[in-house]
Amino acid sequence: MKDLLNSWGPTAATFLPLVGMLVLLAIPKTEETLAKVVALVTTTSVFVVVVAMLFEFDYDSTGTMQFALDKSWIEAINARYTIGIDGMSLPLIVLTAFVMPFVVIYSWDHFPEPKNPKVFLTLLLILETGMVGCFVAQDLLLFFVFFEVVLLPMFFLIGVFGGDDRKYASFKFFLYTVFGSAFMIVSILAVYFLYAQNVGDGTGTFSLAALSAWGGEGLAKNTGILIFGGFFLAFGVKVPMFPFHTWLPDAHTQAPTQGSVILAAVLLKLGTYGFIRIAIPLLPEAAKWWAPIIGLLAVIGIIYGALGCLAQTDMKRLIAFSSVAHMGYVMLGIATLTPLGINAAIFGMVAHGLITGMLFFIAGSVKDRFHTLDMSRLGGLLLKAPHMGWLLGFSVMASLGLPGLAGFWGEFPALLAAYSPAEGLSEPVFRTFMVIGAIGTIFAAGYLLWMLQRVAFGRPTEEFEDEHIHDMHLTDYIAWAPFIVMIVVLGVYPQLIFKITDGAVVQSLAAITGN
Amino acid sequence: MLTHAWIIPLIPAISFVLILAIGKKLPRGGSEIGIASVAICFVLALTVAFGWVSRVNDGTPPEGRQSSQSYLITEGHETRPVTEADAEAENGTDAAAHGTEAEATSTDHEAEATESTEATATEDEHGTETSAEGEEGGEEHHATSAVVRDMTWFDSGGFDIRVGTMVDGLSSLMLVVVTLISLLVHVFSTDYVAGDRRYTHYFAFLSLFTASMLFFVLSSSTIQMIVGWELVGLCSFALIGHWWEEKPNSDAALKAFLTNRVGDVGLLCGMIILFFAANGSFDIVRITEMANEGAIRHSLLLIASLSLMTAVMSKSGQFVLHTWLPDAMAGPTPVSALIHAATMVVAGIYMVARLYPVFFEGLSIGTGNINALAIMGSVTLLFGALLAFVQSDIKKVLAYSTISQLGYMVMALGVGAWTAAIFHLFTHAIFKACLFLGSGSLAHHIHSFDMKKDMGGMRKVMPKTYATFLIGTAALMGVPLVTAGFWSKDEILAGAHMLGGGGDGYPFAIVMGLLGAICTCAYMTRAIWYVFFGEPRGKSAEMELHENGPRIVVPLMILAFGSIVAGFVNIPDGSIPWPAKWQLWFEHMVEPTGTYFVATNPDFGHPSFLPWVAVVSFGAIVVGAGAAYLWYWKGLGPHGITERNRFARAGYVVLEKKYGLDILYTDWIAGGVKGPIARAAYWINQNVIDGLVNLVGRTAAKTGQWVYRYVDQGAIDGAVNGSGATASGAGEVLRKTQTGKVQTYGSYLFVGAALLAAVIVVIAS
Amino acid sequence: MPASLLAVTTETYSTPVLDWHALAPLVILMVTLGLAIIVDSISARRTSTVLPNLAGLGMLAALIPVLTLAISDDRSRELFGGSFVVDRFSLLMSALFLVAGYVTVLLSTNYIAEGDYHEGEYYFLLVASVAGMVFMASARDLISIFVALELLSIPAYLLASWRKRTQTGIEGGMKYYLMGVFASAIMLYGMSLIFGGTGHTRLVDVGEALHGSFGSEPIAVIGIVLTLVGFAFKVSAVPFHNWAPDTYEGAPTPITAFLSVASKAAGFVALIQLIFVGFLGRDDVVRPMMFILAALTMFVGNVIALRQTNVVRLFAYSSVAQAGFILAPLAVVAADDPAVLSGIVESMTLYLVAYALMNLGAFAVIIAVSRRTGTGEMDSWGGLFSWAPALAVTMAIFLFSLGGIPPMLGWNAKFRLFDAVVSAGTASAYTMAVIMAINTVISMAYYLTLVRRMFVDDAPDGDHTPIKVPVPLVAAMAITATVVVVAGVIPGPLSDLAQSATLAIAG
Repeated sequence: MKDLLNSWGPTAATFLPLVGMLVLLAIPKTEETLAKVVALVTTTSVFVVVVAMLFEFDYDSTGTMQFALDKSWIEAINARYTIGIDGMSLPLIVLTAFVMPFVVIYSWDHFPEPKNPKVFLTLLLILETGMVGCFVAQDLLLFFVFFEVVLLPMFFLIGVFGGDDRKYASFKFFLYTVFGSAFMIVSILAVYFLYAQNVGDGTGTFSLAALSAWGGEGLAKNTGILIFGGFFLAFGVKVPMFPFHTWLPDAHTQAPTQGSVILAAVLLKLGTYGFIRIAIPLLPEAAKWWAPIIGLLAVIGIIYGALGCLAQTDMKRLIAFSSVAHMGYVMLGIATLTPLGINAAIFGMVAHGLITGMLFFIAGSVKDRFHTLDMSRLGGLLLKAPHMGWLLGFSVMASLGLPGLAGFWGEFPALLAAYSPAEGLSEPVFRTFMVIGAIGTIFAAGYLLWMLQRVAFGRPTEEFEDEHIHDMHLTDYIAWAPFIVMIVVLGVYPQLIFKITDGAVVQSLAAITGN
Repeated sequence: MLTHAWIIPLIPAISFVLILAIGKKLPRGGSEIGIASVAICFVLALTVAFGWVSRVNDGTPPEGRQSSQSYLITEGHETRPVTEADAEAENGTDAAAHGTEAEATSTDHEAEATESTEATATEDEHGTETSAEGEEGGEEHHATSAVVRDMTWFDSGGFDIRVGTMVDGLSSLMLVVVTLISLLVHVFSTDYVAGDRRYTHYFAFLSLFTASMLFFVLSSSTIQMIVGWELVGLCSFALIGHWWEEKPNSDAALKAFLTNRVGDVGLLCGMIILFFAANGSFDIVRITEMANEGAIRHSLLLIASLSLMTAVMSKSGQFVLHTWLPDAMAGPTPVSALIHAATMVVAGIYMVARLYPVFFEGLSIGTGNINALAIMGSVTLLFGALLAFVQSDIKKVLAYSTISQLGYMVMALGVGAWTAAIFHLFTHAIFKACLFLGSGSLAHHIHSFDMKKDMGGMRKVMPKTYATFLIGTAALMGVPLVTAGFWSKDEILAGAHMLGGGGDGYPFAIVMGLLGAICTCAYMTRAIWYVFFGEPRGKSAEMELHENGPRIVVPLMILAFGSIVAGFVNIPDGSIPWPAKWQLWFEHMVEPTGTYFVATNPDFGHPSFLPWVAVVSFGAIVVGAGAAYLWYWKGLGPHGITERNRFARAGYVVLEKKYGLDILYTDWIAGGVKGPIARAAYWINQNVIDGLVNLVGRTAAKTGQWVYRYVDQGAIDGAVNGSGATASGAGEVLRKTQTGKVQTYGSYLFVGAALLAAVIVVIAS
Repeated sequence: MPASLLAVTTETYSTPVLDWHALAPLVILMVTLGLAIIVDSISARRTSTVLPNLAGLGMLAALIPVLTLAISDDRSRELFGGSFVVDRFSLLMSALFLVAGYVTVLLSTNYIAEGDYHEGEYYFLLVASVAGMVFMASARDLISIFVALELLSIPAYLLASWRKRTQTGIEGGMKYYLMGVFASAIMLYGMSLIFGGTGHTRLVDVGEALHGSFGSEPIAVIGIVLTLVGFAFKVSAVPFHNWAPDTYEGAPTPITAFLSVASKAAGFVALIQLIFVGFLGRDDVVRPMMFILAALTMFVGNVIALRQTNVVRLFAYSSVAQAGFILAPLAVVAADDPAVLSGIVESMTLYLVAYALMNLGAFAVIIAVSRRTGTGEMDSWGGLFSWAPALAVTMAIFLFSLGGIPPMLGWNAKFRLFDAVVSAGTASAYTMAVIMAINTVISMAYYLTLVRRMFVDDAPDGDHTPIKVPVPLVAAMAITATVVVVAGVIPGPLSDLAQSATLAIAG
């Protein structure tokens, strides 16, 4: 069992959803319950596999690839099926595997229009393959493939099951991302050939391990900077960083609830993960050149995203904009290029995934009950649906970075790290970022509480005064409870994640910190 | 118990969860869980306090060295990373040297203090850290060090971030104060909020608040302080907005939270600076020791302390971020008593006290005679007191009074009178809770806090409330000798006179302090007049009023009793006849003597009792209370001057508008950000950034269209697309192919080929 | 020059030894041609399934010797003094043409039968054109290249105007024919200059001569450019692409598929052979020319495609743009770097195969859909997913593949193009890569537009009745879609195939 897991665990986690999808395809469209069961069983079994790996994981050497597998894939260009899990990817894999079953459970009674569970669940399963694949891939090309695969189901989730303006939103989402990844291809190839010239005696490689070990040594400074620029575009769009963020509010707002949840919980992390897994270890010197720019864009994002939130009248769009601000903290942590900052960034990714996912769940349910998310028409949720209202309050508090809940441990350590960035980065500049980032917390509290006030406090508007509003369904409870528990648990005992990531992060930054 | 203090916050935390989970099903809606848990906490807090007292007094051996695998008992800066051990060891020696120096140069008074500690101090109960022992070579360690017990919270990037408890006199005191007031407020609330729509939630949040506050005061690391700090803020938010159906309440809650967030920026920045200044540690002992030893650059300490002051400003209602505190009175009155008077708002004071070496060094408190902290406190105490004059809501009077009293504490810290500040914190907690609960008792039936409209003559119908309120007021005014407020305020004023600038004192502070005292007496006298004297007005006249039940009155009595006796725990030498053993008992017990406190600093001193200060402050009472008495009771003075005199009116308006700060914050800053600025940013987003993206898309498409129509298809020809093509006959087709397009295309082909050839020839050769 | 002309004429003529095995594919196709004429003339019924079956079987039969040749030990067989070479490259390309031809037959079966067109001649011409392509794959001589080109083109001209009852049909065919003739003329002029300068028609000899003194003369440059222009026309590179949209729209849809795939591939085959065997000596001429052509073709094709509302026209411009992508690696041709050279050929070969599969598949769907809608307008594709989900999904696979989105075959092929371009490592190579990157995004935009029509929009008339797709079409779609997906996930085998083919010509 252990050996099996060791070599095939990540593969199973990646491709089980595809198996489930094939089963799903064989089920007639009318058998809705069966389809749901299949999807639930599939996502749950992925979760089980991941949890099994969680137990087998060697926490004393988080810096090494575990459960590694290395097989030939495209021999002609030396691209390999190399997968493995280390401390940097483990939390995100767990997050992905964790989110999916609950999304399926939430979907049980909440299938978005046009109600077509089979197609919807099929897309979710493909999505899961792509996401898990991204996090386990240790080959640049393999990563790229998964990175792109994720696009397709999400495009359809938004485009087919989305809101009124879904055409525009799905289109924008797709093109923006393709735009970034098109440049990433060039960068990937440049790294491949430069490796061949500098180290590989003419043989290029896509192996992340080999490329990180090389770390762009011997490259002309500008070459490195340009190559990093390609990665920056791809990942920056995905994160999304200011000013590449404009796809996000549209995509989030138009996507069905489940889509928003997954988008927030996992998809955005592909970008930040790309930075810490690929861009920085591969090109540490160029990363230093880019770090102030990334930091600047990050803090602009923090303030700017917050201002964007304040201008919103639509609850879901507000939450979407808040992602821009929150990912700003994550990127600020990354920009410091210190283990402290990147640990914080990973924590921030997980926390943001859970918290914003939760917020989207609630927004989705509000929409489901009230058929509007216009905050001027909402109000008194606490009276109409007290449980949902309290949970909204809880999520808002978590989102604004209340200590004791998960959000804080992504935010504060990132600011902390910004005070003392990696050697070679300008301290005054990053300290300024720190202060701006800290000021951003005021705004975060502002827009979130303001939303809470308008949605949950007060009395319901006349429109809904007499209308019966159903409080949470059973599926809501089942789907949301784990999120809440995790938000609290991680908030109280952050070591659960820091312990896993620390070793891996320290190792990946070896070229920068000089250890 | 000292090492098991972590249990204390845990109990109410569990209580919070329990109340939320099963509270509604219980006969008393969960309040019984809350009361039980706080009562247990109170008992435990007393145990801790006694433990500490006996530790100071006779140095009882440690309660067993607690070392399991997950817990690491550390003493002081033992938690330091190994790599820095050498530097630290050196610092340790320095510190020891400092300590000796301090003792040598201390005043008589201090010598006595040190002596009593010396007499009782034993070897550290956990033993001094090994390195220090080695370095100091068996030199006797005089200080009673704090009991720190902590464990790793998380590791990140080579930093070991720890969480734990730090028990010493200061935190023991706070434990007692918090649990005591909390317990009384719980009891009071069972009657006061009985039948409330969210009775259970109310008690749940009281529990959560208690837990957070206890967690905060027990912090052994600054990051833990941040956590506790924010959590109490959350509870404050939840309880201010307890009746969120009405918009003003939720507005007030938002205001409180957001204003505090502004201060939190300073808190975060300050703590971050200290973290790195202390070579990557949040450990309070370590930070303070390093600050004491001069191991941190002065400029860093200055910036850090200024940053932290912003946090104090917001949390402890200091001028200019005090505006949330009066609004916070929108919450239930017991909450005002507990959170917005007695405990949470002193978090800022506590934080300064806890990290005192940082401020002491950073702001040069010991050597200068002016510093930011003293100014902030002085200004606040007077400006807050002035605002209390124009309030007609009794809770608002008390709120501004709280602001003013907090100003005294900050001022005390600013001038270097550490013990005085903490002592005042202690007495203020008691008498202000008494006053707030008293106002709640008054309003319990009439549901109004408006002194002018709805009260009057209430001394007859509520004699017990009247008596206790009067005692509280006396304490707040500082009626000499018998009230707690006198002893603490007097010590502050004495400190302002004696400390700092090498004994020159802080003249500004003492002037402001005395003016504030006058105002305090005057506005409290005014309030007493409106509430208890004269004829019943408004609701109090309409209703048949009677004294409240025991659950309300008994807490009041206890607090009133406390308002008198609390002062006697710290009777200074040479004031009133008092057993020497009990003189300055509070100071001996509470003021830390360890290396983590400035006691070792030669510039740090204690004020002694100055009869003239007592006399002057008594004069202040006479002036303030007397003037108010004459004005209200006797009808003397220029009544109606605000209508007649321009300046008086202007002054009144300024006060009524609260110096315009609310307008500035709410309308201009918050409204500006939320309104025009946010809208502008969003406009830019939609029209500039996104517009750019869309523009690129549109341009590409337009270009496509243009190229297609004018270049690609060669001619403006609607028939190109083949739409409606069948309408034309074959002849037409031939004509077209012969006369138009094919020739054009053909010429393109040839011209293209020729051009290309020409270009390539040029390039290639 | 006269001297070299003289040198050719003085060679003594000897009867060539024919390698029948090597010629077998062509022979089989010729036999099929003959049979088609006979069957058509003796067949009583106008519409019958005999002819399509015959044409299809003929092409499949021709595949057999291709396969046997491929597994035989001889890596390369030269006939006619090296003018006709059968090597791995030509075999792979022949196979590609035969498969494409076969799929075209599948696409045509119902389309032609139900459209009331002449059937016999149709298949005859189709097979003839395929024969020309197979010939082209082996032609390594200016003359045989020209002959092959005409053999494949002339039937194509006819086929393109098969829908003679419509204006667009005739206009498109006419345009194709006239422009084709112009292009041939230019090409012939270029060839004659080269022949005049080098005295050789065999590409190998031309290549050697270009390394010599003639290579440095401007006239050689003009010769090279003009020759290549002829094929730039064939692959519809901008600015020689004007014929394509009108012709594609006017031609019967299966023929459009055939033209956009097989005919284009034939043009690329010729380009590869000319450049790699003949013109490498002047790679400094080829590079800028191909750079300009590729960049222009990508931009113009993509940008115009953005505005198309007709699916066939959209695909016309899409195929123009795709041609630009395939041309891109030629912009970094470097004679002195064998690794780069083999990379170029490999990637182009791979892309041609991939492109053939996805484009044919896409056209199969287009034909299937237009059976119901009767029009190529994009509006009629609205809500396809709701009434023909399988078709919509299949089409989406092809569209994403064309856009280069994993895990479809297209991504790997496109990636290899990038790979080949970047491998040169020069500034212009990176510029080209960036141009390709930008164009990938633009191309994705219009592919997405169609996807959006199918999945997001509602059916225009609210008609959700499913459509019946004929078996041959289903077969065509199933084959192509399966290969596109499977080879996308496991690109190894196809890559190996392309690699082995490459060795023949570039290494």
